[in-house]
Amino acid sequence: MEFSSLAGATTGRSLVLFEEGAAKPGMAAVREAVGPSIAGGDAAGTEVFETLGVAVVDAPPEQVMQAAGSEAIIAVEPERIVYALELAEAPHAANGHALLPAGPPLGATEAVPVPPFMPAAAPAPAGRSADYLRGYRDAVMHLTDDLAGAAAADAGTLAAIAAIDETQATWGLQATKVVNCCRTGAKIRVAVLDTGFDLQHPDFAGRTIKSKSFVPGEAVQDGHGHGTHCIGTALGRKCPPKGRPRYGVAHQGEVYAGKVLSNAGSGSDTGILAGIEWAIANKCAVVSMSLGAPTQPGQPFSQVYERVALRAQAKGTLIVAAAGNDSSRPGTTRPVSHPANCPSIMAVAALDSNLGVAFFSNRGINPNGGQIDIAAPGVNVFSSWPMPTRYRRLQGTSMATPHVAGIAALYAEADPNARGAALWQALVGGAQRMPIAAVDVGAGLVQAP
Amino acid sequence: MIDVTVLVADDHLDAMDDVAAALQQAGLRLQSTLPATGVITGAAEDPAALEAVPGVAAVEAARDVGVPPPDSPLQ
Repeated sequence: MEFSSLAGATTGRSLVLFEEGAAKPGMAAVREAVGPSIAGGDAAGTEVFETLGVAVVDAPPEQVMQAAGSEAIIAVEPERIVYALELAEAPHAANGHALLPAGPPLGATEAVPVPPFMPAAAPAPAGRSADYLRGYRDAVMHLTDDLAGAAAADAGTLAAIAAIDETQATWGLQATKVVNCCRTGAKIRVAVLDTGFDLQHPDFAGRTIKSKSFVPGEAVQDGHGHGTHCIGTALGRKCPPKGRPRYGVAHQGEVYAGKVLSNAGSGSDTGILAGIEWAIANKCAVVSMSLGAPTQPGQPFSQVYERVALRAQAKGTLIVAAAGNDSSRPGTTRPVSHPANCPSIMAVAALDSNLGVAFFSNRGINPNGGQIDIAAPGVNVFSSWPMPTRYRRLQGTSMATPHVAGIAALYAEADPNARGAALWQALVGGAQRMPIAAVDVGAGLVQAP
Repeated sequence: MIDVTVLVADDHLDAMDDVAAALQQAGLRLQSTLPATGVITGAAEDPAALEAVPGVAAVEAARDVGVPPPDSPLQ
């Protein structure tokens, strides 16, 4: 039992840590100490997170400490203000928005205004608890990021990667250590929901390819190119001809090309959800979605997609999605796009070959689920393009996302239990930490197993 | 008509066809019933009317999503 009185702004409330499984007796002791009306659990400022074994009690620590005799209580702390990072950045972001012109020409990507019947994302206790802990994580990571950034040695190591020779493999496959990995993605199904696929692309001859179009009146054949580029990164072949570099991650993975965006590059939630359904029904371990609609600061995430992502994880399917390209750094950062802003969809930021944040990559601005979860190569990315062009270099969080999807397939191959939430943990746990704030890169640079 | 996505509540996932039928009674023009995700898609004049249907957890207007045109270097 300890009582820590740390410096910094506090809320006047107390944070109580219980022994595992002892939240109920612990809260009983707290109620005895501060009175049932304050610590009732449904009082405005009091919340009990039984699974976490933590309670936020609307009474000062001095008062809550009177419950210290209880064996169920490990620690009592003053509740600190945990959103310091976001709060500190809010004025900067607001200025950026005010100065933001029309934004880059992104085509038909404007979100339909949220109609009044759409319920706001429920401020459920579970959501608040996760948010609360994320706030702590961000604050801690920000501190460590700052310290790491000061270390010149680290910067030197990372900068060395900039001088990458791409004759054997793309810089992205090198930075993510895919080239050092013996895994191939064999027998792992990866769904890429995009503009379709060039089914005649010679680099994919002999591969297992399943496809379906969810765009009325359009065949799977990719009349845009975006889908073919993304599938190339996630699943392209190991040895392309004529001295081209290796560009594909899971080169023996099974391709599930779901066309949810038209040849003009546009689509709708209804088609995307049908594509996710198809991927789950076909037991795809990974769904890669390099698509999205911009969001505004303060905009809640979609309850439909969030629940769908949780159901997908429970059935063994992890969904990763592009964080979006609406920022114009260093001046302007924009929040993570829909649907990557859902807590259970892995939001992917883009890095350049110096391992800096790409200028266009969105940021974790909206607190409830709108964070960046992981980062991947997304600038100067060489991959397949519909014939006769065959190859092209592109940049975008769209290019970063299939790096994560392909690497997820490698983890899934390596461990048959790495599915759904466990696969998420493997990706985040294996990521290379970076001297960059978590709001921009999440857990860091994705790494092959 | 507004394109909508309807999230079916966990405790009605075994009865999605019944929920879909009730949604049609309430004005939904049914597009798809998606059992693995527990989502029903379609269009409605008055999406708010769908929220009262038993087994409906959420109703959202379908958003447009997309990627830039092929000639854009930023994707």
